[in-house]
Amino acid sequence: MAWYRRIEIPIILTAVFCVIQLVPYFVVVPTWETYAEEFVDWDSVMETFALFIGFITLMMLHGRIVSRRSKGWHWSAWVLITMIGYTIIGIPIRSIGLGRGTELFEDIRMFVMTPLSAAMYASLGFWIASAAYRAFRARTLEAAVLLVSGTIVMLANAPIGTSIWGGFVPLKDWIFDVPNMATMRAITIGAALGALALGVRTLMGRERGYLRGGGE
Amino acid sequence: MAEASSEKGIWVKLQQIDRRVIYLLMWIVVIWPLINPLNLPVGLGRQSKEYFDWVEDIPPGSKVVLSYDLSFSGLPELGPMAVTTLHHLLSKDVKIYICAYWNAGADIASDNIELLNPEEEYGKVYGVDYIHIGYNPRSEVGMSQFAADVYNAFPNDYLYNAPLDTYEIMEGVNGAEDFDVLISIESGTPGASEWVRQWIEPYGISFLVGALGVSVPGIAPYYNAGQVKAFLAGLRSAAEYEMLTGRASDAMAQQDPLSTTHLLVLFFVILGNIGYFYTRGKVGRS
Repeated sequence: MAWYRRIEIPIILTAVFCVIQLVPYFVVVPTWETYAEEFVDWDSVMETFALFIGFITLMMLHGRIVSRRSKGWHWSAWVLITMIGYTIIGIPIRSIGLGRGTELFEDIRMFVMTPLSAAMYASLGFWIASAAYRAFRARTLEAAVLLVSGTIVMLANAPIGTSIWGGFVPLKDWIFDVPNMATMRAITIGAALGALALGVRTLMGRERGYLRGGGE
Repeated sequence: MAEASSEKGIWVKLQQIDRRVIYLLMWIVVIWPLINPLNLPVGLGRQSKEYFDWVEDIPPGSKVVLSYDLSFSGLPELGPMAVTTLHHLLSKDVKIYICAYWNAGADIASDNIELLNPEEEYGKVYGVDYIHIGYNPRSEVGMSQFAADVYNAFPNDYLYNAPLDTYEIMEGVNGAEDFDVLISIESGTPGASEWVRQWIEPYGISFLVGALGVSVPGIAPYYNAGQVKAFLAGLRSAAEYEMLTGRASDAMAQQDPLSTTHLLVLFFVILGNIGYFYTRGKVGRS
């Protein structure tokens, strides 16, 4: 295997750059901090390249589907049309009406993207109504507790609930402050410990999931 | 025997209502109160009062960052919070630095500025009293960058694309330690957690959050630890905040559909459970 394809190289690079970012949190060394901040700026360059690679990959993927007329190819064609079209519209050449802030760009944003995004999110409401009806059954004690607490929170959040009985609000606040707080704190601390373990494993080169699927 | 079977069939049917019926009723209970408002009273909750008081008590001359960390999909719920917060800040003698860590956030902020018209309505001057420093696509890394050097994170402003250091409002501002309060209207990641890690813990800045209803449980540990001073929890809190600031608008208009849809969901949940308990009992006896 060529030396530049060896797995040790990205592992060493990852470890070195992790240490550069970690040290300033514990020790104040001005020169070190300058380098750490400089490397943060590198991140923006790499992300820009990643965006470009993402664009090209999407083009290749959907271009292949369209050229082969695979199932649902017209959706892929629509992805390509909108992606390329909006990219062109976003190119900042104001003299010909292109770029952010121009009428065409802003109209598409305001009258297409905004209502479509809002409609997508709003449609979840219909799904949640149906899902709640099917899933919220008091089959077990735990399910019953969930059902009762969910009902209290819903009624406290809706003006009609508080119009019926003002007691829903303090009950909801208790659910938020006590059981929810305890659970979320446990989840947050657990996730942080997990992230710490993952970081240590990555630093030591034992975590290789981010390297071409983790294989050698 | 047939009668018993038919009776049991009704209870089973109660648990298997066609989802299209639910969707249709849902649609009706959203549209109907929008056409014929019920004008149900909206009481004040603890969270919105705390949030209002925090903004109200920001000392004159403070530097406040208002970050639009939201997308178009969260706009119906978060939009009213963002507008009302900006209105509240513009009503005060504070310097406002508007930024965004979600790509749509910068445009939503521009729309809010246009809607409120700070020059005409509040006597504020762009670049002196408030500024839109734009969108940073680098998520949590971008927040760290902003904390270290604002001119590196946002070289030019968003509205006029002029270098940031040419504006009067930027005098004496370099990084996070120069700001007093941070407010994030957030849809998810990057949002409150990332701000806490990069700004609140290292620099000890007061932090307020406007969050989607579903995100609120995740903010609880930060609120309990004092890292989040106050927060708005979904559309209901947004409506209460509108009431407190005396600017009833979109969130208030959505309160009636909020009530009717919640009632409908509860109605179906109760119906399903009645059917479930009745059939479960029958099965147990047979």
